[in-house]
Amino acid sequence: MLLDVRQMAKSYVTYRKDPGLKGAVKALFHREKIAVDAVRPVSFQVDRGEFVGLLGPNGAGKTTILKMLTGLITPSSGCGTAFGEYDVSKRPRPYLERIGMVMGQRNQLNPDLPAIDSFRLAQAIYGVPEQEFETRLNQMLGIFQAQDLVHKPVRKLSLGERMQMEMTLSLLHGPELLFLDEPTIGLDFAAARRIRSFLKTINQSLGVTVILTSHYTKDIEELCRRVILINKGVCVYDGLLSEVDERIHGQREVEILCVDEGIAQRVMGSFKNAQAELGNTGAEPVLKLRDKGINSVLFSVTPRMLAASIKNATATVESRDIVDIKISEAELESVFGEIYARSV
Amino acid sequence: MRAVFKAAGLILSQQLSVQLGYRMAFVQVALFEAIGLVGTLFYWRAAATSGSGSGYSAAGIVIYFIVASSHQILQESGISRSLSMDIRTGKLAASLVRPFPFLLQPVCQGIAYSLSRLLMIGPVLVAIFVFVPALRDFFVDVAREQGGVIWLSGYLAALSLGLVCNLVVRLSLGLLAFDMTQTWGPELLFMSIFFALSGVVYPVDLLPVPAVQALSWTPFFYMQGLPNLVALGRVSDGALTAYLARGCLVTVIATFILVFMWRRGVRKFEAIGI
Repeated sequence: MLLDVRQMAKSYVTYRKDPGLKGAVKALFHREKIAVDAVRPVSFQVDRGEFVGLLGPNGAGKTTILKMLTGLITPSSGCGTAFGEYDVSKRPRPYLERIGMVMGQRNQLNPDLPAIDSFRLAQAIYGVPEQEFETRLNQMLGIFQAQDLVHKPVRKLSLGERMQMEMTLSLLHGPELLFLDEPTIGLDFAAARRIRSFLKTINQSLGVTVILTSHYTKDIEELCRRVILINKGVCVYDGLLSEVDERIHGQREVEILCVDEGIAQRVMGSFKNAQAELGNTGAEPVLKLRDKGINSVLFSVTPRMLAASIKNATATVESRDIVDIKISEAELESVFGEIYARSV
Repeated sequence: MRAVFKAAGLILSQQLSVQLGYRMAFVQVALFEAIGLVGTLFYWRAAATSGSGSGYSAAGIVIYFIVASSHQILQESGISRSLSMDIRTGKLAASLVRPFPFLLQPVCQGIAYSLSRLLMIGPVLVAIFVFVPALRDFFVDVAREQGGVIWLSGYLAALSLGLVCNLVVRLSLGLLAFDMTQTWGPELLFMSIFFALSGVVYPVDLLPVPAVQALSWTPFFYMQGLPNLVALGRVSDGALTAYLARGCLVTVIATFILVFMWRRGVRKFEAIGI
């Protein structure tokens, strides 16, 4: 086990100010304290090579958890142990040497210098031998195909290019555990896809364990096998991403578009018969008239029954009688939203 | 029209609320002008007494300002602001996850600033020295009176002490960002005292002797006053040794305060973040 988090919680005090000028004058002399539970006790373990998504709405406590795991803030209670020996809150040097962190909204590169200068500084800080440095740098830049960017001043790079350089910087010392805080924030589609492809490669090929926070479901869908959902400081789900979908939305909606009503009736009849033979009961299929005289049959099945159901429904018609088959599943965002809503 | 006035009144009230929100800064800004006036009063006194009691000729005052301005250029690095920005904008967080002492970065930045400014003003100072005989003669006389090597060594020691002291104080100012959102308030207060008492605006030996003695227990005296006075040959060897020793002590104490502020700040940062 790479990371073992036990009952880690964080609470802090903030101040409340009354509105208006009166409140401002009052606040000069007295401010009302408010205790905030940013993270209620959470426990989870991360194994080597995993790619874990830490998800939740704004203010859920994701970044606070990430900060506790990197030792940036100390938990109010509980503890985290990394690599079986390091107390993460103490931020011991050997631990820092084995981790990397990228914060989408925080710049580690020196904006006034080319990225290569920041890379060299990282090499000096982590004591990376020259040959190892060159190999890793070429490897990272090769994945991004960004060899030309390293000599441009960071200030002149686009957000996407800068993030590529930030990623490269965070991996030059060969960390075993990488923390990513919204690495694709503000990036356009192409840049975000490049970052995701890079992360997939370093996880799968280099075996880097990754813990990612992100608001973009595309990041989660493409990268994370496992997700930890946080809402209002509480862990509401920890498990496989595929199970999230199955648990909440175990059904797939199928729409078979037919050339005319007669074909649609036959499709519906075949589907009903097959379901009856299998002893499946459930929602009746629906016949729907669509525009341009095309009729469609709509039904819901579990993901496991999807292929068989479509095969049975279309068994008695020719393939030319079918215009299209549409299968839709609940979007991840709505699934997460439902879990968050249930947790409140 | 009434709605416009009402909205304007609300905006005024809200802006006042914002300004009052910077609790420390509000009080300090109020003090700023008053403290600045102190410096002006002494400047006036310097002009009034030139050539008499304090021993400053008109040329001496001009030379003093050339020296003071040069030292000021070497010291005004802005590292306190960049350090406070690093803390407030999260660069601190990004740096703390690396096995490297964070404070070394602004220290290096400050040293680099002074060195780069030295390279910039060096040729200008040399040109002034070469092309303005009065200035050259002044320093030749000072060197002759004080003993060339001893004077130069004393000056370099006082200047180095001043730069170190300045760095430590500026870093401490930057670390205030751990405790407040707007550090420009305390910085403004610091600058007021700095201009009034350090010797940037007037030579501090214009002050009564007890005041100079009191000042010599503050970092301000070593940041500007002492190197300026030594450059002009206005400090005797014995007094210089005593001042340097006291300056080292003040700088060491300031460094302890800096380290204390850093450790406390990081502890606070680890406790609640920023």
